[in-house]
Amino acid sequence: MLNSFSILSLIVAIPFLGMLFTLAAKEAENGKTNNVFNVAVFAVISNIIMILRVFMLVKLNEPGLHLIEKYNWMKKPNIDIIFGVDVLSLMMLLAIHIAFVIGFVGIRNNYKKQKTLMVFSLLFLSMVNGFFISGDIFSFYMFFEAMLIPQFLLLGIFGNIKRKEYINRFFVYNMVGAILFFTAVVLLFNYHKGSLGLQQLSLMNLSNRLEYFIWGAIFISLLSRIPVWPFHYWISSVDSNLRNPMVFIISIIIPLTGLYGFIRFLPQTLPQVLDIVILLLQIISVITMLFISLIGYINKDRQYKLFSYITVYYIMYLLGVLTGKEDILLNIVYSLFSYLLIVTCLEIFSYYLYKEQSEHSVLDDGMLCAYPRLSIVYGFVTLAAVGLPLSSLFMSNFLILSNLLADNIQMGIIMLLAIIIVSCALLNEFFRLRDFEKWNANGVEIKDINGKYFALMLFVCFCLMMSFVKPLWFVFVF
Amino acid sequence: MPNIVSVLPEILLSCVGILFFLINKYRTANTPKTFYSLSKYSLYLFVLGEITLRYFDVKSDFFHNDAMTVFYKIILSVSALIIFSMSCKWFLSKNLNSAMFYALSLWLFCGLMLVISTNHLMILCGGMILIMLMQYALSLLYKEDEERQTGHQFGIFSAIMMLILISSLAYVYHQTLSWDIKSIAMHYKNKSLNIWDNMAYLGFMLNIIYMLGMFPTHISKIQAHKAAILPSSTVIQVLPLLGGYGCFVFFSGQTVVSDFKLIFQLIHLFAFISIFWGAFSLIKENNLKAMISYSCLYAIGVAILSLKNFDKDNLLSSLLYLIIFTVSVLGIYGILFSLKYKGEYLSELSSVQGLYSQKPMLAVLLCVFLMSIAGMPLSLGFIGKLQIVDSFVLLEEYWVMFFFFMAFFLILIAYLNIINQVFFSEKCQNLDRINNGSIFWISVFIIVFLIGILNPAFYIENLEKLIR
Repeated sequence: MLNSFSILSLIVAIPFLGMLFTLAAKEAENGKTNNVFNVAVFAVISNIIMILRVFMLVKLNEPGLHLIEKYNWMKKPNIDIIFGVDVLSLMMLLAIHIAFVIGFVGIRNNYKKQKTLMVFSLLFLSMVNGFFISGDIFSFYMFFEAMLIPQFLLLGIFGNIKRKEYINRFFVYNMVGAILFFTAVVLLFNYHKGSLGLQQLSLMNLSNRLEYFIWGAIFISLLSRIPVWPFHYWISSVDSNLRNPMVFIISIIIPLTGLYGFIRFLPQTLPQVLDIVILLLQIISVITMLFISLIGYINKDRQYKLFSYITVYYIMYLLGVLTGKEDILLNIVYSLFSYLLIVTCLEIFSYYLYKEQSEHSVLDDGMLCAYPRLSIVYGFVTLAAVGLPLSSLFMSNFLILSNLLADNIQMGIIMLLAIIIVSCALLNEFFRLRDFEKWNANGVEIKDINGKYFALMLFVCFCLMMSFVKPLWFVFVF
Repeated sequence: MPNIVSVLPEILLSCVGILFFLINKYRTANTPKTFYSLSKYSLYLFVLGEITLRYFDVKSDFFHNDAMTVFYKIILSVSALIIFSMSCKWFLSKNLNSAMFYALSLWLFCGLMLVISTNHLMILCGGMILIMLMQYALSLLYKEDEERQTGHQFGIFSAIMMLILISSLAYVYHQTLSWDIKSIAMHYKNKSLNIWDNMAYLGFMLNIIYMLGMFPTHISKIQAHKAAILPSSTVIQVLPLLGGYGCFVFFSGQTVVSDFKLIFQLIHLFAFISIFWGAFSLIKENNLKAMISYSCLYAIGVAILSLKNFDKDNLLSSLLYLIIFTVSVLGIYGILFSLKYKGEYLSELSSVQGLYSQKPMLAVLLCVFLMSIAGMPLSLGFIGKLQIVDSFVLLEEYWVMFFFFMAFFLILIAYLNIINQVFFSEKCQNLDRINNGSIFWISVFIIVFLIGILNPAFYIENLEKLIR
């Protein structure tokens, strides 16, 4: 379907324009009108409306990309920028936007360099939107690499990472992946003599050395974004130290881009010679899962527990993608939708508790007892996170896991074990926070989350519940 | 009587340079703006003259005025205009006499104009000598005696290069009895080359390399550039880079590349070393001007390395890369011209610590220009990088591409260090107010960037038309 209104370009442009307006807005001050926050949230909500509109326009049952927009960007080499969406990219876009709203609302009272945070976040969002609506390999690469710059700046300014070399290393190692991707893209251009759609790449036969190199380069570059050994070291060294929830949310979107790349590029027919590579990756992945889940369980830091949960789930999704089954891919996307919302909520709640804890100088044991509203939503989200039938995570993960168990029982069991361990870690943390006997208020004045924020959280819980009933429920509602 | 009409614009500029001294001597109410305005209008006249001559297709035995040379001249004029404008504020803030600076810069500019369009070997050498002398004089400008050491070293090195150039010129004339570059090239095409012929050719090439500031002739130039005042440093760095590249392309195009294959292989080796030398030195360096010099060393290495066959595609990639690089470098200079602390312009990396917390827009723009030099996507530099990598793939130079990426990582690390200092460090001093002149030019660069990113075909197609 050809799109004459350029609605997809608008989805990229709106956060960028929002960023420019945010740049022009007055920096927030305590207790006064927060223009920066209002403009940023307005930009994201406008985009959510646009995305829902795109959902209406797209025939979800038809395969391939919809609402295609094509621009001839350069004649030498001949590069066409193609935008297009399908249900996979739309679900991701929607989840990321909702996560951004939750994140923005969660940090609305944090006035320290808020403008900077909003500006770079919106820039990042614009790049991510470009990435998810890319319909050709060239624009896919451009946005794949371009999103690193705002992320790098956000990590550096707000990451509170003591050793700046970690951030440099993190960026450089991501760039290694991006350069491999770039090399593959340029080779592909000369190999195919022109632009290449995303779907064409997955149809590549991998028959000669050049094709193997191209595929290998893309494979490694995508893998470098997912916290699988040996890449997990750099990611964990940065992510587990982050104290700003918005930056954390942005940093967990980076592995998503790698995973999405695998969904797009994994060849439909892999030659037998690559079986050993896939097997090796599976072994490394399950070992990483188990390793990270155990560290997460032992570690006392709530942030690290969340990080280990995120890592284990990302790797599980990666293994699911590697099966190459169409129905599994769709379930992964449905599951990722809930997963993103859940981890965003958990991060925001965790941040709220940290803030309260440091403000009142109290221990966090049993702290949730003093925050009834927060406790309700925290409990709901934690239970949804561990896989109870409260979101699309339940059914989709059930299908993914059953398929993986059927494919390789040994690896499936290890994976299941890792998932159980991280779930236990999350539950333990929740019970510790809810332990009434350990709560020692010391007469401090407690401030629960406000009514509006509670309403938003309840709405998110409602969305999660509805995604369990039907993953694309909003298409029928609106 | 030689036809001098085609070189009238250059003659005009040289006369303006002399006029500056007269005005400086006999007019009392001079300000830096006086000389800037004169330079500006003379550059406008120069460009107008060049376009008119091109329009009427004025031919000369000594000069070729084709679309490409006019394009080079216009690009150089625009760059000179930008530098002159930014420098004017510098002289105003320092309350120094700018006559000498503008006169020397205009003569340097004239030298560059001569070397990129002449067919006459004597004029080529004369132009090169003029460029070297002007660079030397600019490096000494407003320096105390004890600070002139690096400038003098640069002068000594320039003198050695001049000797090499004159020796080569004498040898070639003795062999061919001609000054015409094309006739000389034809002469050598029909005979077998001996070691002295190769040495003479290498002598010319070394001088062009010296103008470009490429390995192995770069060290004294970078030191002089580092020590010079900011306006001189900008002129020495930017103008010879573009002009030297034009000279390299025209001289190599007129002479027969295949006959001097060994020398071109040697130049490619120099280019290769330049890339790594530039990248490694950039990591260690703390002086901002020297950092720009090493970035230029890296960039010129990349541009020359991609010129393997001197065919149109190679030329397009290489030229586009260099022009985009120059725009980015001018952007960085624009920022350097805006940063002052108690009236002193900043020159050390440590002095820009925490720039983001004081001047966020400048810090973001600096980041944009740095990322453009590095060739990150969605910056203009990416288009240049894409062209270069594409040309490596077309030439099947996969190893060169691999090493290019290695060097790219090194410069990326260096730029990340700068960004670290600018964005992630606490501010160390309260900077002065920014002047509007630099902001104007930075805004122009950003518009150029935006056009380039949204519609790169606009630049590429026009450039391609010129080359073809």
